[in-house]
Amino acid sequence: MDRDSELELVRRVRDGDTDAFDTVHAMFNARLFSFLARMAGNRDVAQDLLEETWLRLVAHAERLDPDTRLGPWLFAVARNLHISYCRSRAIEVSHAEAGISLWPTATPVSPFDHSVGQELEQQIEAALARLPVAFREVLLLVGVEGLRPAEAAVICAISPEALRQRLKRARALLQHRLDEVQKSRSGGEVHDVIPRTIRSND
Amino acid sequence: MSFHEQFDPTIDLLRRLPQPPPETNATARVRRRCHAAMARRTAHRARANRPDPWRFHLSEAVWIVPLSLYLLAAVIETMRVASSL
Repeated sequence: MDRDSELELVRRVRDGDTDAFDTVHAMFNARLFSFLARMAGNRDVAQDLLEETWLRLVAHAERLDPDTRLGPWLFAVARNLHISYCRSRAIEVSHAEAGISLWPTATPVSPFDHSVGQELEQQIEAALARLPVAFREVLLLVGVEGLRPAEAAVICAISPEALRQRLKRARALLQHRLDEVQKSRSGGEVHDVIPRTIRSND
Repeated sequence: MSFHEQFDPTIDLLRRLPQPPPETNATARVRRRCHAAMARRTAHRARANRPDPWRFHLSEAVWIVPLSLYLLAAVIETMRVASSL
């Protein structure tokens, strides 16, 4: 979506246009849920936080700045709601591998699920879930959601330079965690799965 | 080439992760709730913009209270003079 279209959407949302809201909802709902599910490690919590995020947009629609960037605004709200949720329950935000439940329980297990790609995805999810929340959120925002580092810095309320440093450390720690996960699954033998998979996909 | 555009295998891997889908029923429910909230706000705004019949506002007490006291005093004074005649 180009900037002019986004500005027009913001104007219509501010005016209470439900069609404009639906457009924004369709653009960001799945992405926000994906982000929240990986942050919370729990679909039900993610769904509740997602609902609250949209209600916040409606409640603050009239007070949005005309030049608001919708993506960073929504992700910042979602992130802050997740932080508030964790604080209110004083819960540990790094999840054990067994505690990850990102996918619907009704999702059938197909032979495809056993493919190498699926296994690699599970390893990445497990490694991500074991990262400290500050590292996980920057990897999710920049890596998974494809936001620009400057936008992610605004969402995380840190300077762009601090975000670069955090992203660099997060990538190194993720790689370390991936090595650990692969090591534990292969019974101590480390395989260099990632570069080989990238080459095979490219 | 900018920082963001540099190829990074870790970021590339993350970008390939599939999105866990939200619940369809919950998504529809959220949209309904948001539409209802937007409709309430629109109706509230329309009411606020409509010219209302006169209602008492605190700022109007600035002149209403002294005027009322003056009128009351005038009535009492009139009654007192009338009763003394």
